[in-house]
Amino acid sequence: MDTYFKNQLRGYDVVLATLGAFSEDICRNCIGLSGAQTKVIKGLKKVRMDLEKSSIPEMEKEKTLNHVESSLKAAEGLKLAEEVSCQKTAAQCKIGPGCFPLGALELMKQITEPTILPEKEVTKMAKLICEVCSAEEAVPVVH
Amino acid sequence: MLKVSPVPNYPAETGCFLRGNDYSPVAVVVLLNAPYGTLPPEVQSIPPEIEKLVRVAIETGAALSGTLQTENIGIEKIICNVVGNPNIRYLVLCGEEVNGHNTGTALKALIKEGINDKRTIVGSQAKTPYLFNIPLDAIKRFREQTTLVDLTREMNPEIIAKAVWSCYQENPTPFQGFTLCDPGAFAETGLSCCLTWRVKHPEEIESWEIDKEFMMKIEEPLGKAGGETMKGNEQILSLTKRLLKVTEELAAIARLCIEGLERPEEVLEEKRLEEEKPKPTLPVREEPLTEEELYFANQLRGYRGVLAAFKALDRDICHDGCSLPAAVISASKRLKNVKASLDKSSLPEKKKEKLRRELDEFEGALQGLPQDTSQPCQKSVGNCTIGSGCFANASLDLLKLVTEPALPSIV
Repeated sequence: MDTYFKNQLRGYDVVLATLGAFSEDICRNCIGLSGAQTKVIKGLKKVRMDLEKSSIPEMEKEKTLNHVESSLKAAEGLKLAEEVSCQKTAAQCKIGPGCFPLGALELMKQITEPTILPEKEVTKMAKLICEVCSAEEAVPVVH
Repeated sequence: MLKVSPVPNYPAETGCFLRGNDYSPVAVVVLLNAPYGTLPPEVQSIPPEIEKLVRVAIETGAALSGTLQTENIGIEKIICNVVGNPNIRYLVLCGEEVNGHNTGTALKALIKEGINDKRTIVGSQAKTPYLFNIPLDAIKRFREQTTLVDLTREMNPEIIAKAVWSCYQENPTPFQGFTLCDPGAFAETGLSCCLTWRVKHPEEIESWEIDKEFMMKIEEPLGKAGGETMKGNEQILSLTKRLLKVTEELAAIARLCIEGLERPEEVLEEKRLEEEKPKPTLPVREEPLTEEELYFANQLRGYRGVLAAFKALDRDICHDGCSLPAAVISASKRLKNVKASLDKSSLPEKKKEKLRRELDEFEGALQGLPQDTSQPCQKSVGNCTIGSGCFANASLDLLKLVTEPALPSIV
């Protein structure tokens, strides 16, 4: 459980640093950066919500919550123009079809483990059966 | 007359339409006036007169012919399918306007006025004319590629057939005030795109954002407490308590308003100070003029992001791993190539010097990052538990987002 939060925050640290660098450029006027900022803020709020509900030790929880809060502050502090629009449409961004802020946000997809989803009943049963049979093979992944 | 093949995944979006001759210059859109929310479950029972219009169009030689109901996803699907086939140059719009959606006016407004920066169709009378799920390029292309033949309210199959026929004539053919003929395929290749998300309301609150306990309190019937039915005075008492709470909350809001009004000078001062705070301004950059200059400017933009990501990773467990050093070395090599290309370029010496300075700064920053690849992979020592992905490699891949312009051949 603890690993889940640590990994999420590691990811958001990199994303925020990258977005911060892009905000120094034409992305500051871009709806792409504004959208990425909204996504990061929402994602961090979700992490905070999951963390508050989690059963990790209080001290660890508080430390992680502080990290979430400072990341939220950094996300909210990203430099953005008052009015934003797609810089490709405005003919300012000419890097091709790619988008730097959205690309930075994609870094979060590197995190695939662990999931916070509750363990499925079928997986629990499979584990129990393996235990009873003393099977040495790994429990098959249940999708 | 030039005709081209549609994109391989044409038609990219599924829907209630028929596919005819791919080389035909016309697509037919029949407005489907069905009650809001009744489709697609009732898509099997579309009125026979509408089905007849769709069939007649295809039998007469249209490339695509189908029904349209919604002013957002429906129009987006049409755009995806039309821009995938550059041969389609006319859009015949017929049928009765869709009550509640005003989809016909939305499609007409889109072709005439386009969308604004909030991706809303300008001048549309529809309720939710938002095109959030397709690239802006596709919308632009759709408007450039097609001409609207507006036959709204027309339900006569013979007239629709005549419209389709007129569109593929080699010589200009008059039809109801239009002069129609097949101009051949659009000058540019087809765009392959499909709906990314199905967003109708981007600011919509996601389910996880709603406090479940709060919702339960709202949903709890007035006559129940803790799942048990209350009787007589109990019910009145509970209701009164809740009313008292609402009153207290309203009083708190009122007090805040009064405070604001009673000391307007302080409020104004706060506002003034807020306004005086320096607003972020974009550093002024000289706009690159030539393709060559743009190439280097775009590369620098990419490196700026990559470097920031590397620095953030260096503060984390990646500092002791082997992937970050490997990515740093790779970035350094690429940067050297960019520098070599800059040296060979035909840019004026002054501009070259400026770009070289920036590249040197990046190189210096990269040199300050770890480069020892003999360190153990942080996955193998059990420190990195994110799964099979790798932040360092993915950060380096940000450079791949820069695809235009190509490295000038002179370099």
